[in-house]
Amino acid sequence: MYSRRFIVVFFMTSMLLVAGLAFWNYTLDPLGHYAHTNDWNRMQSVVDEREQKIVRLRDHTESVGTALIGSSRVTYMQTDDFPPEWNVFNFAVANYSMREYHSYVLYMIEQHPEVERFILGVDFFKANEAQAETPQSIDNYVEKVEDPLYKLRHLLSFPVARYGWTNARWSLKGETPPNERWYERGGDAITTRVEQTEDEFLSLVETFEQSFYTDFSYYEPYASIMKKVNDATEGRETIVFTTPVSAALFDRLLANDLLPAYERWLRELIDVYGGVWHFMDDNSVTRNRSHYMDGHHYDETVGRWIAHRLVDGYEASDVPNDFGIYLDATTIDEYIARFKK
Amino acid sequence: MLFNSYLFIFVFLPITFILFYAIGARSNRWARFFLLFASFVFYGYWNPSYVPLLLVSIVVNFTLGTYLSNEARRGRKVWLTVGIAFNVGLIAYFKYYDFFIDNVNVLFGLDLPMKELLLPLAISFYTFQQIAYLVDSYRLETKGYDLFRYGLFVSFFPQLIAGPIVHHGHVMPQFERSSTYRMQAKSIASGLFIFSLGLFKKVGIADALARYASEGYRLVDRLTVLDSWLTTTAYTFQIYFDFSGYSDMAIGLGLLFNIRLPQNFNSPFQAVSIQDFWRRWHMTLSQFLTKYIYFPLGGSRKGVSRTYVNIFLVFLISGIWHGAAWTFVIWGVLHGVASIIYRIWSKGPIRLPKWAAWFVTFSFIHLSFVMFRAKSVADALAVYGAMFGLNGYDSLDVVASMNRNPVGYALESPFLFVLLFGTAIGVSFFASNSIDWLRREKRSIGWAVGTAVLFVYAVGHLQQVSEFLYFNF
Repeated sequence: MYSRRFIVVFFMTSMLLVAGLAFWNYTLDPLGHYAHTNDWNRMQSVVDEREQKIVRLRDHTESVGTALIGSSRVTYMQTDDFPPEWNVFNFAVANYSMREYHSYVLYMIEQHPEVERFILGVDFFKANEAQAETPQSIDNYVEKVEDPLYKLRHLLSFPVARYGWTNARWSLKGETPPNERWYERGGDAITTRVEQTEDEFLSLVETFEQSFYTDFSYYEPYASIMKKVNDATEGRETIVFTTPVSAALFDRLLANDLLPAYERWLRELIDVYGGVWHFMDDNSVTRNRSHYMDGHHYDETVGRWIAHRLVDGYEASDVPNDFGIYLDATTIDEYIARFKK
Repeated sequence: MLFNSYLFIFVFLPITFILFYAIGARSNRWARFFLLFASFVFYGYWNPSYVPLLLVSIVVNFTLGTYLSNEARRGRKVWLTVGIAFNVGLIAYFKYYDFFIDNVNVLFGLDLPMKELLLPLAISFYTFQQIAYLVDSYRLETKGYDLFRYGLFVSFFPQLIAGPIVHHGHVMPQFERSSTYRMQAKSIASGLFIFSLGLFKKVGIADALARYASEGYRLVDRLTVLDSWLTTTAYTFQIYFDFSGYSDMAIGLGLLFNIRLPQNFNSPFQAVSIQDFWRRWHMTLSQFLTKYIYFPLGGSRKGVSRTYVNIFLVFLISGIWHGAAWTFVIWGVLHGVASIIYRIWSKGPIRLPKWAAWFVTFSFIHLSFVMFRAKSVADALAVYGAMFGLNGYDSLDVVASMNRNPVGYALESPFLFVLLFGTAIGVSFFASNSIDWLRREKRSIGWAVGTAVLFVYAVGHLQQVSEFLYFNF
C-alpha cells in the first residue's frame, strides 16, 4: 500500500512541477521558440544569437524578401529602416566570421527560396588571418535546432526559466540593462546606451587596436571565399557595404600601416561584387563619437543612414553627404589615392 | 544514450518499461527477449557499428563458457586461457593499442602510426563480467544458461555502460524467476527513489562541481594554494557523486525491472583505512579483482612477501584498467603501495584514533585523485606543487574567473558556492548513503514529494543553456 502511494505521489508531484516549469518557460519564452508576445517577454536578452535567429527564421518568419547578414555591428540595424516591400530579415550575429557567409546564404535560400536580395555587411578586421583561418558554418546549429526534442528540452529547463525571469523583470520595467544588446520580441536589437568619457572611449579603441590591428596578416583566400558566397546567391541581387568604425579607430588602422591591406580588401570586394557601398573611413559620421557605443559598434541612427544610402543611393536626403561612397573599378583608384597623399 | 538525458528518461525508459510488463504478462520468455533487444538498442544508439563487437563477444564467451562447464571436455584449461586471452586481447586492442605504440615511439625513437581507435562503450565492463563467467565455468560453478539469458546478463542496459560489474550468479537467477516479469509496486517505488537520488547526485552535485574542477585543471600552471585545493576538492567529490550517482541510477533502473543489482558504493569517504576504502569504493570492481586476480595469484596464502606482490599487482591492474595513460598506472601503484604500507602498519602495535585514521585515509585518497584526473604526469606534479605552495599564496582566483563564466550559472553567488561544497562534504562525511536509505524503505508522502523534487530539479538541469560569449564582435 505504501509503495503504491509513493508511486502515485511521486508521479503527481513530478507532473505538477514539470507542468509548472513548462508553463513558465512557454509563457516567458526567453529563447524565442514560440511566436506569442506578452508583457513579460517583450524584451529578450541575447543567449546565442545564431541559435535564436535560426529558430526565428525557420519557425516564425513567413517570408523573407531581403536577408541582412553580418557581424554584431549589423545586428543593431533596424529592419523597418528599409522599405516594407523589401521585407528584411536581420540575420546578423555576434563574432561573425567571413567563413560563415556561405553557409548562412545557403541556409537562407533553403528556408526561404523566395528571398530576392542579400545585403552583406563586411568588416575589415575579419580579413585578418587570425579571424578567418578556422572554418565555420551554420550546420552545427541547424542540427541542434532540428532535433525533435529540442524545444521540449528547453521547456523543461531551469536555466531557461532563469533567463525568462530576467527578461520578465526588464520587460515589465520597459527598459534594458545598460550597454547590453537585447532584442524586442519583433526581432530588432535594442540597447540602453550609457555615455562614456573621452578616456573610456579611447581605451576601448586601444583595446580593439591591440586585439585586431597589431599582428595583422591578410587572409589570402578572402577573395575566393567571397566569390563562393556570391555564387551561392544564385544570381540574386547582392548589396555589399563596409561597416563604419569610428574615425579614431580608422586612424589606428592607418597608423598600423594597414593601408595596403585595406586597399586590397576593397579591391577584392569590388572584383567579386562589382562594387561596394563604403562607409568605413574618416567622415562626419565616424568622427562623431556620440554615434559609437565603443570604437566600432554604431548606433541606430547610423544604421538608418546606412540603410537609406543602400536603398536610395546618393538621393537619400537624410544621410550626411560624406557618409557612404559607392566604390567600383572606376572610382577605387581615386579613392585610395587620397590616403596615399 | 545516457541515463541523464531526455531521450532516455522520456522516451526509451517509459516505452521499455511498458512493453516489458505488457509482454511479460503473456510470456516471460518474450519479455526477456524484448529486454535483450531493448538493451541492444540502448547500446547501439551510441554507435551502431560497435553492436557486432558486443554480439561477437557474447557469442564467443558463451560458447567457450558452455564448453568449459562440461567437466568431460578436453583441454579445458587451454580453452580457458584462450577465452581470457580473447577478452583481454579485445580490450588491449581497443583501449591500449595507441598507448602502447606511443610509448614504443618514445622509447625507441620511432614514428609508428597510431590507429586512433574509438573505444567501444562499456568494453571495460563487459569483458570483466565475461572473464568471471569463463573462470566460473571452468570451476563448474555455472549452470546451464541459454544464450539469450546469458546475452541479457551481459548487455542488460542499466549496468552495461558503467557498472556495477555484475556477477552472473547474482543476476541470472533473477532472470529466471517468474515474479521478475510482474509489476511489483515495492520494487518500482524503490527504483524510482534510488534512480531520482542518483540523477540528482549526478546532475545537481557532480556536474556543478565539475565546473570548478574542469576550470582548475585547465589552468594548472596558474593555480595557487587556495585555487589548487579548491580545484582538487571539487574533483574528489565530483568523481564520487558522479560515479555513485550513476551506480544509483543503474540500481534504480534494475529495480524498475525487478532486478536487484549489487551495491557499488558504501560511503567510501567515511573509510578509516585504505583497505576499508576499497571495501566501500567501486565495490564490484574490488570483488572481481579479489576473486579473479588476487586469490588465483595466491592471495595471502603464500607468505608475506608474495602477499605484498599480489596486492601490488592487483592495484597495478586496477590502475591500468581505469585508463590508457601513465597517470592511471601511477594512481594504481600509489594505491598498491598504500595498501602494502597499511598491511605492515596494521601488524604493528600503534593504532591511530579513528578521526586520525580517517583523516590520513581521506587525505591520501584526495591527493591520489590528482594523479587520476590530471591530463598528464607533468600536470599532476604542477597541481601538487601548487597545493604545497610552490606557486604562491593567492586569493580565490579560479572561483572569481568561474563566477564570470556563464557556464557556471548556478554558482554565481558565494551562498550557492558554500551550499554546493557544504552539501557535498556533509553528505559524504556524515550522512548515510543512498543504499542505506533504500534499505530503510522510506515510503511516506514526504519522501515521495522529496524524491519528486530531486527528480524534477535534476531533469530541469539536464538542458543547460549555452551562451555565446563574444557578443561585442
